[in-house]
Amino acid sequence: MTAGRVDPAAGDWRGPRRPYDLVKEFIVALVAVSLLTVVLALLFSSPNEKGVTLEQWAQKAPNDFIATTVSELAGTSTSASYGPPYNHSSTGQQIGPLHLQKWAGVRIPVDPARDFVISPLRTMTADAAVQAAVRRYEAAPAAQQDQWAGAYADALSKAPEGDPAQVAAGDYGPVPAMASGLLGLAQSGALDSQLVNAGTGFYQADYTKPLLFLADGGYLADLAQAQHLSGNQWGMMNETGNFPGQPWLWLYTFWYQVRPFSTSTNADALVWGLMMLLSLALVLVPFIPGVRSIPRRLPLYRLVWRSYYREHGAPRR
Amino acid sequence: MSQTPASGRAGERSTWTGWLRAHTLDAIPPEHLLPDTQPAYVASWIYVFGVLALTAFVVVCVSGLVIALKGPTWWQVSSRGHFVNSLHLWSVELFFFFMVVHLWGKFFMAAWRGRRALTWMTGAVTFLASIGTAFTGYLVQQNFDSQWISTQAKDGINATGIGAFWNVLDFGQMLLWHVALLPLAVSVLIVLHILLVRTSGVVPPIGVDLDGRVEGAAAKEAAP
Amino acid sequence: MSAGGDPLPLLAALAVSIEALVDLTGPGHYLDWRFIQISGANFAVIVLMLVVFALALFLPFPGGRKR
Ligand code: HEM
Repeated sequence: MTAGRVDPAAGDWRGPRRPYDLVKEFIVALVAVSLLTVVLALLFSSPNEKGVTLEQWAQKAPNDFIATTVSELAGTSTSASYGPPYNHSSTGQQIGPLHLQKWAGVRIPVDPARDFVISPLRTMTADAAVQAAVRRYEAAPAAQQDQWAGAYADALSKAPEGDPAQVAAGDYGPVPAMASGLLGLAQSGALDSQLVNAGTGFYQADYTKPLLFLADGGYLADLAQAQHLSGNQWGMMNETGNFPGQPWLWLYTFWYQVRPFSTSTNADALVWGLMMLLSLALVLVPFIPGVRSIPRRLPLYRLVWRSYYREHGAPRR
Repeated sequence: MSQTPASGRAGERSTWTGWLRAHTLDAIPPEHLLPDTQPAYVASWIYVFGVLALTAFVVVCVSGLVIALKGPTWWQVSSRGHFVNSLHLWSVELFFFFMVVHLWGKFFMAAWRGRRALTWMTGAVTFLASIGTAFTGYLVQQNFDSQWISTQAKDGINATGIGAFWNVLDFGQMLLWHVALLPLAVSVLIVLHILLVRTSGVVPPIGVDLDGRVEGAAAKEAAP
Repeated sequence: MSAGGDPLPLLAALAVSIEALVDLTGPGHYLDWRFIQISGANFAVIVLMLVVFALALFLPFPGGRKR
């Protein structure tokens, strides 16, 4: 565009016109798109892979459930070591000097040991052994609690297939009894409803706690991996089965596959920072020198307006 | 067909209502809003993708409305519900399909020329808002997808600090965003976008001035 | 199942009777090139977008003739 000259495309068109029925175009398009939607829906239906329950997790993968429970007590699980917005156990990720995660603060407080393990166990009032274990655990100093849970987590990781029945003898205090107590509670199905926002009582709409607990385990991730949904499998754009997913997320999920993002513990912050910048760039394309001139350099526009150029002459390159 | 110049009605103002009517008509004259002619260069299939995206959005809204009428668990337990869910899903896929082809088209036509940058910008923001709307849709399906997508997405959103206020693990919050706030935002953006297109008119071809003359071309006259 | 009050009763009944004609619920198919992995379905969607874009540019528009 020549500098200093007014934009030649600004203003009302005074050249030749042709009839165009906007309303008819809209109605025809509406009918066509509606029919196409019905045909696609009839042909392909839609995916609906059943959700995982804590009950199912505890029954299908009890060893993973036990290991996860112990990691909540030991403070080593993802949510126990998460940081904001759930707790203070780390400062979270950062974008350069911007500690956005930390600055936003702890606004959805979650104490995994208490919320996922101890509080549910307390409801098992009919089980004297579990109640005794909880009392003993709570009476112990924090260092002792960590010692028990840490030692048991270690021992579990060394046992064949993480099987609690084959763990080497050691001083694990009440932790094994607590873990197997929670396993029993989950296998009965009772834990599912207990973890859902205890704060609101009867009505339930907030699944933060059961989802965090479920995601701390390996069971959910294994199922996702098998469906090609993991972050390192371009999973964000994928859908279960053979359905199309969200192909428009290709660029977002792409970054997670390449360095430095694929190996960074700060990847989420970096990718989000980058995508925000690129999104802003998309919005500002008309103002970005170079990018805004690409269409003039590529001849595609000559195809769009070829009939006009054919009649009135084509512009210089 | 001549287009009435967009001025001259503002003299009618003697009441607040008259002032509002005059200014609205000046800003968006009806013959711009619903024209029955277009400049001669509007003759390519690429121009239909805006309308296709718009109508796909209508189908998305109608199918979503049916699901909303019945409540969030209906489609999980009823095969009719599942069918309406399929309509909703496929209209969304079509919506994005048409929107992306539309975006490519507008890019290669440099359709932001002639003070139309705001048209491009509202379009791009609509695209981003639509991505957010689709994303929350996946979160409120109450199935495996919702569990996996929400627990994965929380890390990115928490890393920006937004997760502290916008909790993707809170089904209730996401449901309201998906069925009320975001569709409303997208609808308003689309209305703005189309009003902008209608008021500025379709952008002339590259290298063509407003009288229809092609710059640098051998003088073929652009007589109507 | 009664159609009473149900929207789209006819279509829905049709859908119920034939279910999906093409079953997409089976294990997914994935394409792999080096670090790029993409599901067959997403690949199809993207290729189709490019094809439709090309068609939109190349196909003649009816009534494109000036009066
Ligand atoms: C919800 C999504 C959208 C809808 C419903 C929509 C609708 C429309 C319609 C109906 C038109 C006029 C007809 C046409 O030229 O196709 C139009 C024009 C336009 N759209 Fe969109 N659009 C959407 C998204 C976008 C996006 C994502 C962009 C680009 C980032 C965009 C940029 C433009 C531009 C620049 C024009 C002006 C075209 C001209 O003057 O020739 N739109 N849009």
